[in-house]
Amino acid sequence: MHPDSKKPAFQKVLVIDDNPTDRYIANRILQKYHFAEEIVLLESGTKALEYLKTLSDVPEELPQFIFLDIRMPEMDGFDFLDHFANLPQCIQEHCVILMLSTSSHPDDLNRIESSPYVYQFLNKPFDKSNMEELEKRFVSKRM
Amino acid sequence: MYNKLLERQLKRHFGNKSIPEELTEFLKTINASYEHYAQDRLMLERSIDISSEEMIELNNKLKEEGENLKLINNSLNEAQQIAKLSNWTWDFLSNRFTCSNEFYSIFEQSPSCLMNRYDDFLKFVHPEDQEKTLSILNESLQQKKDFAIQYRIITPSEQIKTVYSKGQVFIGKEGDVEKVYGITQDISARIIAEAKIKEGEDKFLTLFEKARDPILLLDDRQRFINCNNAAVKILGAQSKEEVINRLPKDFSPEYQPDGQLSSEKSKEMDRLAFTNGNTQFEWVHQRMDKSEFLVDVSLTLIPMEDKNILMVNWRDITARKKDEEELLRKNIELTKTNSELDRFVYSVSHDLRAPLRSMLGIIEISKEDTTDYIMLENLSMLKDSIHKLDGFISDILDYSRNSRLDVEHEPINFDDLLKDVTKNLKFMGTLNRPVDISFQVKNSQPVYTDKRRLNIILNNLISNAIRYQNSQNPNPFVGIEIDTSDTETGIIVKDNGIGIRSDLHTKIFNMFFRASEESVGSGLGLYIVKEAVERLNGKVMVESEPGQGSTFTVRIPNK
Repeated sequence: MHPDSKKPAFQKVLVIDDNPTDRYIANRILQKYHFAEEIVLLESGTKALEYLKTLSDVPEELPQFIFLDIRMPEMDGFDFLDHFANLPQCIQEHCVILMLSTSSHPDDLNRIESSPYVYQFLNKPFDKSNMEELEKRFVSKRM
Repeated sequence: MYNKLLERQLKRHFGNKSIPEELTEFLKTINASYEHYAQDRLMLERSIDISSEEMIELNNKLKEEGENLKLINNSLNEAQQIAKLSNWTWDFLSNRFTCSNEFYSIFEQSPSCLMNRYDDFLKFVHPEDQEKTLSILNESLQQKKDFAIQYRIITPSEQIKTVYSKGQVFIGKEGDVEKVYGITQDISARIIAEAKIKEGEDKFLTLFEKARDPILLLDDRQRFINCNNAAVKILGAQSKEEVINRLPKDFSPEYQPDGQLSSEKSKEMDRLAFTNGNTQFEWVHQRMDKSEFLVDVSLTLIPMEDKNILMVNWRDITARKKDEEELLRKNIELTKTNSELDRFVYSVSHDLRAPLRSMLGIIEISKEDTTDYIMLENLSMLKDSIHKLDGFISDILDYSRNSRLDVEHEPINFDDLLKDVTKNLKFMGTLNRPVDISFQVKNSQPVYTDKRRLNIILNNLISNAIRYQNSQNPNPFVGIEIDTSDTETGIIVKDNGIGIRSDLHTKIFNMFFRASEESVGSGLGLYIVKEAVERLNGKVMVESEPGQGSTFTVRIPNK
């Protein structure tokens, strides 16, 4: 995979992170490697839930991946997951959640592991190899 | 015809001549006399015979009685000797003092030296007892009264004896005391024995009274018959009298914590002790003021002459129970504090590391945006510095967690653990070349230990092996060998890196020790390894030679 040289593998991804720098990095890397055609950047879980709800009638518009930061003010990643559980089933089925953070407490890791909505935990920063792995797994599955 | 004696006389006188007729009447009279004489003599002889027989008999009897008397006398002497009891008579008319042998024995005198005066006797009396003894004797004589007195004497052999004397006064016709009959007994042995018994009793009583734990005696009717001061005190009573004759249930709340009636349960416990000899249980008692206290009760059966009683020991465990609860509470608090602290350390480390992760992200992006060689070099150095700082934060986190968190016991799958650890380490060297990491798990016995600490140990040892690879060596490798046995787990991490000088082998496990200027770590890695291994009761050893490589061996006992 080389930058600027291919068609994006996915339609849309959603990045939820309160840190502007991290949103910037995620945006740049995802763009650079053409991971998705559309990258939606949101600074809080509340806004993300609102956004997802507006798309419940148009499931094809839903993001295939949600990159979710754990530590955020007000609503943290786990609070978001709790609310996510109450969203319509079509949203839950359509979106694959990946949780991102730096060092994580073992309790957090256990919670992530036991959550039915989280596909994987990733250490920041999100990088090329992570994207390659996801593409390999989800694109091939789709084909 | 005539008496034989007369016939003989007549024959001698007349011979064969016939006796003249005229003598016949006369002879008849004489013959009669003869006859009487014979009869009298016979009587006399017979009475002599009888008398002498009686005499003999009397004599024998006397002899026998004499012997008996002697025997009795001997027995008496013997008895007196055994009892150390003497008898005596003091005759005031003749001023004579007579006594049995034992009296001399008691006073250690010979029978030849008579004691017939007060003074003779008083000189033996213990000086401390003289006044009292004298006054009692004088009083007895003046008031013509019998006396009984106990006093001490000092014998010629300087033995102190305690004697008991009893005297009976005999009053004559004149109304004066004529004689005193008495006994004197050496009662030293009894006094000593009594003193010993008393000493024993005193000791026992002191033990009972002074015992710190309350002790009570309970009879077979469930009544307290005695108790010590500690019992009085714990019950908040004023005196023993408030406790004695009352029942255990009188000093208990109506119900015990298990819901049983105190009156019922106490009877049951007593019965148990009477049958089994002893029993032990916890009991809530009540003071006079109705406040409650918790005791450990032990009942012990004590057989007495007439009936069995129970010794009741109380140990106040109210404070102990309180302490236990306090300890439990503190423990919970501490656990809470510990886990809060753990969270705090995590949060801090997260907040410290998050910006570093962002920086790494920016570096990744910037690397893609430039082809400038110097810029790329600078970015690479920046990245190394960030990794170093990140590693340092990670080490501090590991150290903090190792020192605070309890050791866990979970099943360990070494293959998974090693894959997990090595996955993130492969490309970490500064030389930017892959290191050959191989591992071998032998004798896969199930191992239960602390996974997190094992992770810290392996992670540090393996990352050191990679970090300090030898640039002269074209094929850097790290070999990890796990050997599990019934008793211990052996971990060997071997590399062909730069090695460590032997004089530094003892120092490398010290906090913040760095072997050389080339060291890139925090100086905490091996210190944390040692700390973690020690928390698992294990040992870590090093073998290394500069230029040849290092081998770290860890031995952890299985739990």
